[in-house]
Amino acid sequence: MAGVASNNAWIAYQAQGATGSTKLAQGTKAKTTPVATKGTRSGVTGGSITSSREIGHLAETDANRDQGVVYLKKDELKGSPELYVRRKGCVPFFWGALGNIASTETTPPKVEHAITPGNVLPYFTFWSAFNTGTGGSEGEKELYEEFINCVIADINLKGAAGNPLSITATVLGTETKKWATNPLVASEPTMENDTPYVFSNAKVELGGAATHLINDIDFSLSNNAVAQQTDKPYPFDIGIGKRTVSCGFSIILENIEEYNEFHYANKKKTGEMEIAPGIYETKLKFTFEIDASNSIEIYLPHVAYEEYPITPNADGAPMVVPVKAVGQRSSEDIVKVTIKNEKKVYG
Amino acid sequence: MAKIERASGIEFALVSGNGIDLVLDDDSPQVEIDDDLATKVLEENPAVVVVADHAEVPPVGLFGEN
Repeated sequence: MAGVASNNAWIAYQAQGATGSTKLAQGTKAKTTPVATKGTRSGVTGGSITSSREIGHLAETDANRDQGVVYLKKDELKGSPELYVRRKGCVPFFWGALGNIASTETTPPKVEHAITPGNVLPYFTFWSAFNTGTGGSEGEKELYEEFINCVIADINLKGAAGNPLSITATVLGTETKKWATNPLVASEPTMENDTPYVFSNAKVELGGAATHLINDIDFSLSNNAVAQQTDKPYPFDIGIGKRTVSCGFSIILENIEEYNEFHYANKKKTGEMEIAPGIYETKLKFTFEIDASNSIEIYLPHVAYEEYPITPNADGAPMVVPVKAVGQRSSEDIVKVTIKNEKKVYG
Repeated sequence: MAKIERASGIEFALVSGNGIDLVLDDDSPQVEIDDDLATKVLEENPAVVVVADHAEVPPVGLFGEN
């Protein structure tokens, strides 16, 4: 067959830490030996993780009109794998992007992960496999790569009514290694194949009150991370910057109270009002619950709307407003994610 | 130094962040760490307790007095 099927691929990941010790994972850029029970392996719905070469052209004056010879500027480890949100695999992504985790397991297996913002992010090792076909030697046909000292720079969780949730993690790392055989062969985590979360599992609270009017979510957290290149073509380390949290959602417009709050800092529906200089702040909580033991709660205690566009439409269909809100600092965590499942996740 | 372990009925406790990277499970039921780190761990995860007979038990924050 000409061409190679592109679906036979997976990624795996595990936090680089020291289990059962007080060794500080976050300051230790050293890969962890994979442990089957401690890592996560999953298919992707899009994106990948790989080394990315940036090529430059020499530009000096001479008598030739053709562009100059090429040279390697950098070879960065980066990627944005997108996965369905399943019970276990989303935990490392949220933890990696936020920084702090406290997990507790009670019997029967019931684990609660409280994930909160930290000033330092953990490092992860990622692995990817791509089987390019059968025949020939294994090393010829299968591509295995290992990505070390990876930081989850950004995450984006998306879901819409009737659809499964997906999460995309933007990953930046330092070292890439190509393996001739599967480096996880002796310790390969089981492929995740449980039913993903779907938007029908959602319970939404806006301003502390339950609402059934929201029909999608687009939650993003960015650490504004940058690869720091020094004396190698690949990065020396990953630097993290300001943390930004935003959440977009579409709300079926039943009344104009929130719109009034956004512009006029008053939710009253009658009488005249003037544009108010104040910022309206509210709180937002998305909970996706499969059952009592399996749920994801994303809580933003202080968000301000950035956009609340009410626009006419000649179709005459009921209005759905695509709202954009941003988190802001306060005495509380800017965002807190609580995940309940039956899976331990090790550091 | 303080010795910490899992509270009663807890199978697994993990605390990571703020300079802590700690797992308590059957393979590692007790860990001895600095007093200040122990205080942080107790604040982060209520499933972790200080071993009762340990001489250097830091009382601060243990039962929420602070």
